[in-house]
Amino acid sequence: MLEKYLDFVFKYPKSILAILSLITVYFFIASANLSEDNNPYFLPKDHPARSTIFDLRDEFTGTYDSVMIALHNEDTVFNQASINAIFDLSRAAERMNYVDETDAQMLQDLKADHPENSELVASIDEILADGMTPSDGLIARELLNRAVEWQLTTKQLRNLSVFAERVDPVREMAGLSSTENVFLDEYGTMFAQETVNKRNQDIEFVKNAVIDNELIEYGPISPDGKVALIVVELSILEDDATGQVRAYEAFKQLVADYQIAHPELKDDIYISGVPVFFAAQKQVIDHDFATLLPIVLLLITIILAVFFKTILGVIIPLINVVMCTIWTMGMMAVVNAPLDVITAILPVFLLTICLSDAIHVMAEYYHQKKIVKSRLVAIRSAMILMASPVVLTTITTCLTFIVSTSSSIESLRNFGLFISFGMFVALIISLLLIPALLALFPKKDIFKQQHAQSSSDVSKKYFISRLLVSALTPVMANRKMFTVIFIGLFIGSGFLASKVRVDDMGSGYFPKQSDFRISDDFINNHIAGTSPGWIEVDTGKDNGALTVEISHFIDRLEQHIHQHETVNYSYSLARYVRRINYTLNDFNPEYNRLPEDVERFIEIDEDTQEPYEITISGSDIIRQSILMFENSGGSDVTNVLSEDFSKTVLLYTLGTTVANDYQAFLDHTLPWIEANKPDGVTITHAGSPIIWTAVLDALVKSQTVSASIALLTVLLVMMAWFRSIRLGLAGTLPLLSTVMIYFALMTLLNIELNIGTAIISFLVLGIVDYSVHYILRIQHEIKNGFTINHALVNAMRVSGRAIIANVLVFSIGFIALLFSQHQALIDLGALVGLSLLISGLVTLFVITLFAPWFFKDQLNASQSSKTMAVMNEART
Amino acid sequence: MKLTCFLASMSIVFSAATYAEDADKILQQVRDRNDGKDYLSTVTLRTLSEDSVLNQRQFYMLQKDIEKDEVMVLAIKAPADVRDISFLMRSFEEGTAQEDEQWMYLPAFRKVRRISATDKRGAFMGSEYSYYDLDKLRVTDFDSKVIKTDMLDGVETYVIEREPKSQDVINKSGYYKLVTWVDKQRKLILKQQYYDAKGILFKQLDIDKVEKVQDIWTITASTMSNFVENKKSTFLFHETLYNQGVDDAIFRKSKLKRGIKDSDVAELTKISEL
Repeated sequence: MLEKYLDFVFKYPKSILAILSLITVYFFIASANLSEDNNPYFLPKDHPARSTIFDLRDEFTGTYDSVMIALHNEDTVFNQASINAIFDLSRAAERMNYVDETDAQMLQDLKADHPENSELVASIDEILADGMTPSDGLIARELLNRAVEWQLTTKQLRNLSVFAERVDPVREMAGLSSTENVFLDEYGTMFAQETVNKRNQDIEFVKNAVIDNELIEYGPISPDGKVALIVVELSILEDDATGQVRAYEAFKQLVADYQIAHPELKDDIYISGVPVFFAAQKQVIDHDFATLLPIVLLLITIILAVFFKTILGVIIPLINVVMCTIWTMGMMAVVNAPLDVITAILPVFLLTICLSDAIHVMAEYYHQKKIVKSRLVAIRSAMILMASPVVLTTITTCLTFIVSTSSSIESLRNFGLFISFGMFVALIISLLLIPALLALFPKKDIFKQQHAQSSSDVSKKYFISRLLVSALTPVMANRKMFTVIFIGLFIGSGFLASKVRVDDMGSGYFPKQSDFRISDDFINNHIAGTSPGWIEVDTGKDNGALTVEISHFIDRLEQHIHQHETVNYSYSLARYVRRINYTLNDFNPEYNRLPEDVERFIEIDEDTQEPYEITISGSDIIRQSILMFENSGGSDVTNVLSEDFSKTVLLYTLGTTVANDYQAFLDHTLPWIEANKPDGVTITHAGSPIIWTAVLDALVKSQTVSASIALLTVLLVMMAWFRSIRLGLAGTLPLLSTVMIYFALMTLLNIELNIGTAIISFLVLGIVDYSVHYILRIQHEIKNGFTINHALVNAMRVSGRAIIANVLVFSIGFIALLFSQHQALIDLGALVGLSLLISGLVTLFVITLFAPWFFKDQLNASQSSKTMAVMNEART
Repeated sequence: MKLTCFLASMSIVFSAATYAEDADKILQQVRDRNDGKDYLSTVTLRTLSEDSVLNQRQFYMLQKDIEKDEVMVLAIKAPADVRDISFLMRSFEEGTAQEDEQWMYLPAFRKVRRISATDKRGAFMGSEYSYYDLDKLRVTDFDSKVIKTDMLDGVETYVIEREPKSQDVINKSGYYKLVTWVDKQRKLILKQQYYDAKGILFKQLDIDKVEKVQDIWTITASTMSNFVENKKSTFLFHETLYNQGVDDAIFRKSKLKRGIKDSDVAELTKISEL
C-alpha cells in the first residue's frame, strides 16, 4: 500500500505539487473573506449569562456598554473651561457615528445585488444622499426589518445590522450635561433636567445642583469635585471589532481636537469603558500578530537551519506549515467561522505545531540518507518508517483536540476544531509534498555517494543523541531511586495543580504604561468603575415596582452591594424616589428617606385653622414622585423602570476588571438577595460580573471534564494502536505528568488559568508525538533483539534527537509571543514553550524509567522468538 | 385667545386667510386664530406601547386668555393613584422677557410646587406629549421657512421647516428641528415632525379628527407617535365647550390645591360627571 502510494508520488511529483499549489491559492483567496468576531465574552449570544442583557435592553434604557470620558482637574472641575468641555464633548459625542466609505460601498453593493427592489434601492439612496448620519439609523433598521421578506443573504443581513448600529450608535448619555438631575433653585422651583445644559453655565448653579446629591455623586462627578465623567452608551455590536476600534479612535480624536481648540482647558482626559477595552484588546492583538508572525517564521527558520543544516531541510517544512496555515484560515472563511480573540492565535500555533510531522519525516529522511546515500531510496525508507507514527500521532492529536475542547466555550471549540484541521492537512501535505519535492531533485545525490553506514553508527554521531544518552543513562542505572523521585514529583505537582488560580485579569493584561490601562485604572480608582452590572427585580404586576416594599428592598440591596469594596457607583429607583422626596420636602433632612407604608401629617384646616391628621399611602408618594419627575422634564426614569412599572433595575459599576473580584462580589450579593427578596418577585442578573464568572465556570468545567475525556481518548487510541494496555499507559502517563507539572508551575509562578492558558493544557494532552515516536522506536529496537536498555539507548539516539528538535521548535517558536504587548499572550508564549519542553523531557524520562514494565510483553515476545530461533537452529 | 395652541390651534380662522408666503406670518396667523374666550373639555389621554395600553388618564382641561396671557388648568380625575393631581400653566405673550410659569399640585406631598418652565420637555402625565407640545405655538423662538406646499389627506397645506434660534429653545423644547404642516384654509397645524440632536425624526404629531364646535374648528383627536420608543399617545377631547364664562379665580395658584371638582364643571357646563 505504502509502496504503491510512493510509486504514485514519485511518478507524478509535478502534478501533485501543482494540485497542492492550486488548493493553496484557492484557500488563500478564500481567506480574504475571513470574518471577525470580536465577541470578547467567549460565550454564545444565547448563553443565559449573555442573553439576559439583551432582554433588559428591551425593557430599560441605560443598559448598553459605555465609553467613559473622565476629565481630571487637580483643583476642581467646577471651572468654566471644564464645565464647557463637559457640555461640548457631550453634545459632540451624541452626534458621532462610526461609518466610512467601506460602509457606503457595502450599501452600494447591496443596491447592485438587488436592482429590482425599488424600496431597497430608494432607502439606500436616501441614506447615501446627504452623507451617512445618525438620522439614517432608523432607515437602516427599517431595512433590517424587511430583510427576511426581501430574502437578503445572511452576510447582507449581518452587514446591515452592523451598519445600523455604526451609523446611529449612541443610545444614551450620562454626565453633568446629560444626566437628569433633580434640584431646586433659590426660588424653590423644581428642576428635573441636565445640570449643565448650555455653554457658560453658571458655576455656582452647577455646584449647588450637584453637591450632596446622590443622583450625581460618584457618577457624573467625584465627591471631591476633581473628576467629571461623561458616559456614552453605544449599541455597536459586541462582535463588530472594526466598529469598536473606530469608536475608540473617534473618541481619542474628539478629545485631542478639543484640547487643541481649547487651550484654556487644563484637565487631563482619560477614555475607557467596555467598548474601549475590547477595541484596545483588538488593536494590541492585531498589532502583535502583524509583528509576531514574522518573528515566529524567522525563529523556526533558524531552528530548522541549525538542526538540518540544508536548504531543503528549511524550505520543505516551512512550505508545509505555511500551506497548512493558509488552508486552515481559508477553510475558516469557507465555513464562515470567525476569527476571534482565541482563534486569532491559530496561525502561531499552526506554524509551530504543524512542523512536527515534517520534522520527523525530514529527520528520518536525513538519517536514512546518511545510511543509504540515495535521496529517493532514503525518502522511500523514511516514508515507510514514518508514515505509521505520523498518521497515528496526528489522528490522536486531532481527536484529543476536538474532544478536549468540546466545552461550552465556542471559541475553544473552534480553536480545537481548526487546529485539528490544520494538523490533519499538515499531515496530508507532508505525506505528499515532502516526497514529491525531494523526487524532483534526485540527481544531486550522485555527487555525495559514499560508503553506506549502519543506523546505529550514524546516530552515534549526533551531539543531541550523545547528550540524551548521557542524561538518561543514570535513570536506567538507578530506576528505584528515580521512581521514588518521580512519585514525589507527581504527588507534589498534583497538590500544587489543585491550587491553581482560575481568573481573568481584564485590563491587567495591558502594559501598565499603555494609554488604555492608565485610563482604565484612573476611572476605576477615582470615579464610577468601568465594569457595569444590572440586577432586575420583576414583580410580574403592572405598577408593582412602585411600591414601598420594592423600593425599600432595592434600597437595602443597594446599601448591601456598596459594602463590597469593588462597588464604586450605583443608581436605582430608590435613589430617584428618595431624592425627589427630599427635594419636594424642601430638603428637610427628615424626608431624605424613602416613604413608609403609611405617612402621617398634620395639616391646618383653612376654614377653622384647626390642625388635623391626614394619612397618605407610601406607594402613592412613590408613584407621584415618579410622575413629578417625568412631568418636570425627567426621562431617565426609563433607566430604572420598565414602561408598565412592573420591573425595576439596579445598575452598579465595579472598579475592577478582574474576574475573581466579580466572583467575590457575586458571592457577597447573591446569598443576600436570596435571603431578603420579597415574595413573588423574580431576580435577574446581567453585566460583566455575570458574564465573566460564567466564562470561568465554563472554563473550569471544560478543564476537568474535557481533560479527563481527552486523557481517556489518548489512552484508548494508544492501547488500540499498540494493542497493549501497558504501551497505552506508556503513551498517556507522560502526558498526565506533564499536565500536573504544568498546573503546578502555574501555581508556583502565580499565573492564573484563563481561557488563553487553558488552551495549553489541551495542547499538552494532544501532543502525543514524543511518546509515540519514542515507543515505536523502542519497539523496533526490541524486535531487532536488543535488551531493554540497549533498545532505549538506540531509540534515544534516533527518535530522541527528533523529539528534542521538536521540543526546540515548539519552545523557541512560541518565544516570539514574549515580545507581545499583551500580558495574556506573553504568559501564553512562556507557558506553551515551557509546557511542550516539559512534555518532551517528561516523555523521555518517564518512558525510560518505566520501560522494563511498559515493554514487558514485547521483551517476553522477543525473548521467546530468540529462544525459538536458538531451538530451531539446534534442531537444524 | 384660550385653547392654548394645544398642538397649535384648534379653532378656525373666521376671516378669509391671506396666503402669506412668509413662514413667520403663516405661523403668526395660526397663533392668533380666534379660539374663543375660554375653553373647557374633558380629556382622555391614552398611551400605548405596540398596541397594548400602558396607561389611561382622564382629566378636565380649562383654558382662558387673561389679558395677553394664556392660562390653563388640568385636573386629573382618574385613575385613583393620581387623582386630584393638578397643573397650572401660564404662558406670557411671546416676545416678552418673562418666563412662563408652571405649577403642580401633588396630593401625596400636599404642596403646590413650581416646576421649571425653562425646560418643558417633561412627559405630560407619562405620555408622549411633552409640556412643550401643549404650549401655545411659539413663532419667534424658531427660524422658519416654507419649504413646499403639500396635499395632506386632501387638504392643502404649507410645509414649514423650523429650527430653534438658541440653545435655550433647545433646552426648553428638546427639539432640534420641526417640520410643520399648516392647513392653508383653517390655519390649523395638521401634522408636525420632531427631530432630535442626532437629526433623527423621533416623534410625529398627527391630527386625527377636526370638528366644528360652536362654529369653531376644533381638534378633537390627535396622536403623538414616538418612533424610537415605539410608543404613542392619543388625546381624545369630549364635550368641548367654548365661552362658558370660566372664572379667572379658577386659574389662581392658591386654588390649585383645591382642584377642579366635578361640581365645578357641572356648574360651568351642565355636563354630567365623568
